Amino acid sequence: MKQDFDSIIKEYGALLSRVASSYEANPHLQQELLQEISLAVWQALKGFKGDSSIKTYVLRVAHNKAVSHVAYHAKQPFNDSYCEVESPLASLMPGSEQQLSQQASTKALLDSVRALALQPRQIFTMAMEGLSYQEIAQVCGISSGNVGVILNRTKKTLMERMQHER
Amino acid sequence: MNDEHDNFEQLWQQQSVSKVDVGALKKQWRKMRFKQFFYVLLDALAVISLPVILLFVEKKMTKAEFVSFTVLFILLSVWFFYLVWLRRYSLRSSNDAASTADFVERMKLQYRQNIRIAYVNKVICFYTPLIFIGFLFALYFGDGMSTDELWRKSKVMLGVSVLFLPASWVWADRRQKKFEKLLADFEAKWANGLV
Repeated sequence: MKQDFDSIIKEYGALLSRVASSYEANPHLQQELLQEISLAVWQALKGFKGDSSIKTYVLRVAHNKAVSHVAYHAKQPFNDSYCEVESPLASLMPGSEQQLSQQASTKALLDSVRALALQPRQIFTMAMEGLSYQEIAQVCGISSGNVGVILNRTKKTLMERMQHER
Repeated sequence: MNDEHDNFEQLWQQQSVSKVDVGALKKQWRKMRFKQFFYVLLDALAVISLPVILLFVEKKMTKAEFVSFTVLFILLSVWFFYLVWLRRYSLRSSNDAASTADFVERMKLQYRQNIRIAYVNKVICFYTPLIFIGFLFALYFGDGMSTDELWRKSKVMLGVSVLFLPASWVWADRRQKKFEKLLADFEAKWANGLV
């Protein structure tokens, strides 16, 4: 089951960046975490035995790396005031009103996702990447029935938080 | 329900993404591999060096010296393999753990092993002067070494005991406290669902 790292990054680089953004709000730390995650994926590739899809495996390694990153680095969880650089989403880039509204909604979603506890955050982000309940259950070490319950509850929480922010 | 999922998914997928710096990553990978190789080499040299030295200077040594260094080599070897056994989770990457829950357990175990390594280092620092005294006794009673020669050797051992051992003990104590704090923080965060 030999996998080429360059092709993995080409295919899943954006997915890894989204995992990083669900743990770190600050763009500098996000980039740092993305590099750490990518390195962890590279190291873990030789251990891939094909008992899940490569996407599930990559996500599993990425989330595990992100957990250890948070454990080591986050003195105050979810604190995004670490440096003054603003997320590109928040900046007022030229665009139509619809684009600006979409950017604001995406930012609200990301802020709400980062405020979730670890398990609902993982389940939600993996569902957004198209993983099945069964695959998510494998990664989190819970039953697929539980995944459904937590995911529905998380969506409800996110809706409420996003509406509250508006 | 599906509309809601689709809306979330659409929002999620349209967030801006950063690019992986593959060049920097490959540089980091090479550096990491070199460091790993270097540490393994150092560990291996530390274990191999003592029997090699013993082999070359055997004729110049007294019987008690030879026996003492052989015992020291055996103790060091036992310590080395115990250390490798304790560090078995740190030596291999645990990022591919079967699940997040499994990974968290591995991380906690890794912290506990590091605490134990630091503690054993402290114990070794504490008992090393006793080993020195035992060595001097062996030289005196085993080889009948002169008091002048014994005094010269004991000055070297005293120097090591005064300068090196307290510093090592403080270093190990700091590491023990650091990992105890990391473990406590991690367990608290995990219990609260923050990691």
